[in-house]
Amino acid sequence: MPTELPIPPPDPLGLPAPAAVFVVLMHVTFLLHVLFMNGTLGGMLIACELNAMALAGHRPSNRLARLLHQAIPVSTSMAITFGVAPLLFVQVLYGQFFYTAFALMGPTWLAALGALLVGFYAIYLIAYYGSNALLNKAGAWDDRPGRRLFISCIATVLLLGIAWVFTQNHVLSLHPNRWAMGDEWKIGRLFVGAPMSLPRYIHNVVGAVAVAGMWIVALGWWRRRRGLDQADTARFTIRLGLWIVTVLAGLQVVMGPVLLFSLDRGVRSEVFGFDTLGGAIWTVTLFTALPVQLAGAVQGIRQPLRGRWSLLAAGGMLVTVIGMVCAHEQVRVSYLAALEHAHAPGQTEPVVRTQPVAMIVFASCFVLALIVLPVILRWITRLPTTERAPASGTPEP
Amino acid sequence: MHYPQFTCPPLGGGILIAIVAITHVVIAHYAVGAGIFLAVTQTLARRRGDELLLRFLRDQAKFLVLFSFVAGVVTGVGIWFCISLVSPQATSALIHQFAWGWAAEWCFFLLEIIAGYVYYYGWDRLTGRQHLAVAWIYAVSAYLSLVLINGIISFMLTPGGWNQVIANPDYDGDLAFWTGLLNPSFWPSVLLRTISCLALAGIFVAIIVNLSRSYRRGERRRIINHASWFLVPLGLMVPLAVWYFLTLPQEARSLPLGDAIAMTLFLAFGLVSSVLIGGYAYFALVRNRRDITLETALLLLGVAVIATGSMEFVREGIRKPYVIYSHLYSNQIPATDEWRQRLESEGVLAHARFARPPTVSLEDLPDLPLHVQGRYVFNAECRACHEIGGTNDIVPLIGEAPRAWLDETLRHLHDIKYYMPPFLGTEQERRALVEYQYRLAHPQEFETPTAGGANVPDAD
Repeated sequence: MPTELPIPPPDPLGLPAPAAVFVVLMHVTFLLHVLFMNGTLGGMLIACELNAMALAGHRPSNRLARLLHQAIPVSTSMAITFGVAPLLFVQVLYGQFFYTAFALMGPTWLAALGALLVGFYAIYLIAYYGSNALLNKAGAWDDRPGRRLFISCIATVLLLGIAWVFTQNHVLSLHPNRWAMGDEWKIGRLFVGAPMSLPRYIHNVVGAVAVAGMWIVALGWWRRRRGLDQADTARFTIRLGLWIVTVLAGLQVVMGPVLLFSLDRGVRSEVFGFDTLGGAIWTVTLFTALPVQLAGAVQGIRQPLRGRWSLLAAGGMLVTVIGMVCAHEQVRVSYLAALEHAHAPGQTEPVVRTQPVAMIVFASCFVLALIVLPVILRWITRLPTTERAPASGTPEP
Repeated sequence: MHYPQFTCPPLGGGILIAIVAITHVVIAHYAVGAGIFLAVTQTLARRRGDELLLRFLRDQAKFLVLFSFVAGVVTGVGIWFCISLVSPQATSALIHQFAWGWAAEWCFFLLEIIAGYVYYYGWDRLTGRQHLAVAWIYAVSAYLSLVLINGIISFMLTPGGWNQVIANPDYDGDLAFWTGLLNPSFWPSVLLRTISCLALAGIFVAIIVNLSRSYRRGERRRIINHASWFLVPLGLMVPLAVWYFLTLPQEARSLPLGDAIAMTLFLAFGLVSSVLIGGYAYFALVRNRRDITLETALLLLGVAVIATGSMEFVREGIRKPYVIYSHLYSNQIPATDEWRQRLESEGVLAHARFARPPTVSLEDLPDLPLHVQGRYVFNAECRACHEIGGTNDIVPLIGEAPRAWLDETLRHLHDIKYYMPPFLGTEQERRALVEYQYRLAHPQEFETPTAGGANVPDAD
């Protein structure tokens, strides 16, 4: 065992603003990343299942799988783009823990990078050989769910591998006592072996599928409201999405406590309860938003075309995910605070050298993006009349 | 120094960064240049009612999404991963000093990606004016993203007055930020990169139009002739490179101008290749309106990649022995007087915790054989660039040198070879490193006979 914990000192250049500013920015951008990342990972897992059902001859599953494969490339791109910002803020706030864990994972990260490149192109491969939304014509693989299933399984396994690496890196960054392996600093870790390593990963993946289920509900409503899908098709899509939400969110009711009890005792009390702000937000959302989400989803399954139930489930899920993001950060803060008290009092306190003008420039760019993006997104969501579904009477594709 | 040393045998961290970085630079420069190409060409095509160019822009947008938005984005994340692995201390410094710069760049990156998708999916949905507006939003945000990143990258070589600013314990954060970002080589570097972006966009047009079978020969030639204008500014590479070199520190400037022949050659390759492509574009494509085939276009791309790679290699190479000029050495040891004094009195192994095994404490060190201590010093000071048995292997560099020569070299390492960081540590650590290096180069002297008669190297 190491004679002392080798935590590097904070960067001498310090923080360019009070830590709270970065904490807020990290939460906001991480929330967006989680929503899209879950849409991609969970969406691919669901698409695999839909492709398998399509292979067995289930036509509505075939249609929905094709739609999902059209949406997932953009979702993947957004997941990466929104992931860059929290990655930046994590390095600003917790650089000495992040870089050390990162270096110890070493080649595993390079493998994750390769997996991302191959997986991303696999996702595009299915999209481009499927229905071509741009040209509004059937793709070469529309009636070949077997090919889609094969490629989507490869992409999904790669995405699951990337999720594993991210989860293990995060766990390793919280456990400096696991930086050493026996009598060496073993570089190229694949499994940290902390009690939370596996529960956390399973919790993340199950949550991803639940959130992707809600994206399917949103897709169903979006197409229904624009007259792209008839009532039966929309009913199938929305009901399936809400089923996924109900089952997976229900599974989280089991996985949540498993993850909670895998945390250190002191951390557990700070994450679940009212001792800390992050813990309080999570505890409140757990007992309010999660039941609302489940109730909305269950009612929505019975009456899928009643918008209020989907809205209730979506609202409940959004608040639950916000609570999760707060809990995620509280776990980190509690672990690192415990480390500081035990091993290096005062060491993790970086200096603050504010850069007000630079911060204003960033804020201006951020506001500019917030103004421009809704405008161009509104332009693109207006559909040409050629894409609208016939009023009635046309059978399901 | 404070972090575990990631190594990537047999390539070495430097080569790994170079591979990912050059790939990313080519794709990212293309993405920026393609944005300007899209916006300018669409403006002209709409004004002239040129349906051919508009049709081509649609193909170009598809290529942009498939190439830049996948490979470009992933290698962009990849270069961040690689520098975090190989140079965590430097990455941390860049992140902390320029956090708001990175954050502002992210805003433009977000705009760029979303505008790119809206542009691609918007051909049948947006009005002509909306589509053109989105093209310009993409072009401007991609370019501003490049400008900000350029400021941070050029800072690493020419921090200008930044080192003086932060030398004051109560320095102004904003002053440090802007002094570093708008550093001496900022403007020439922006212009050089702009030319590179435009040229790559022009070359990729020739590739895309040749890959598509939907254009007749005359159409293809017209599109290529239009795009070739974007290659012509390559002729400005030489005067801009001169301006760029005038902004560099004297020691950095002297390396490619004769002090390091490899750098000189790479610089010559980069400049000559660029000017040749620019000249070819002007005389063959613009003036004489020649056509080019896919093979020629790929050849031009190959030459452009070599030129880009050469210039990036020179920029990285002349920064040695620093990773951030006069602030941090390439072995992640701070280049300040304060740290030099600390390391000479306390020793590098007191700070480089990951250089010795977890079970070896500082108190244990004196009891260990000298060459074992030396191996730990090697991990702390040398291993960032020298991988035993891999790239830049230290063993052939040592050769048959005796201990006295090694010791003398370590004492004056930076003076003998400017691009090497000085050895910073105690006398004992230097002696230990000499012993370790000597044993590496002379293993036969330390082999011990086994019972069976075979010789095995002395175990560490």
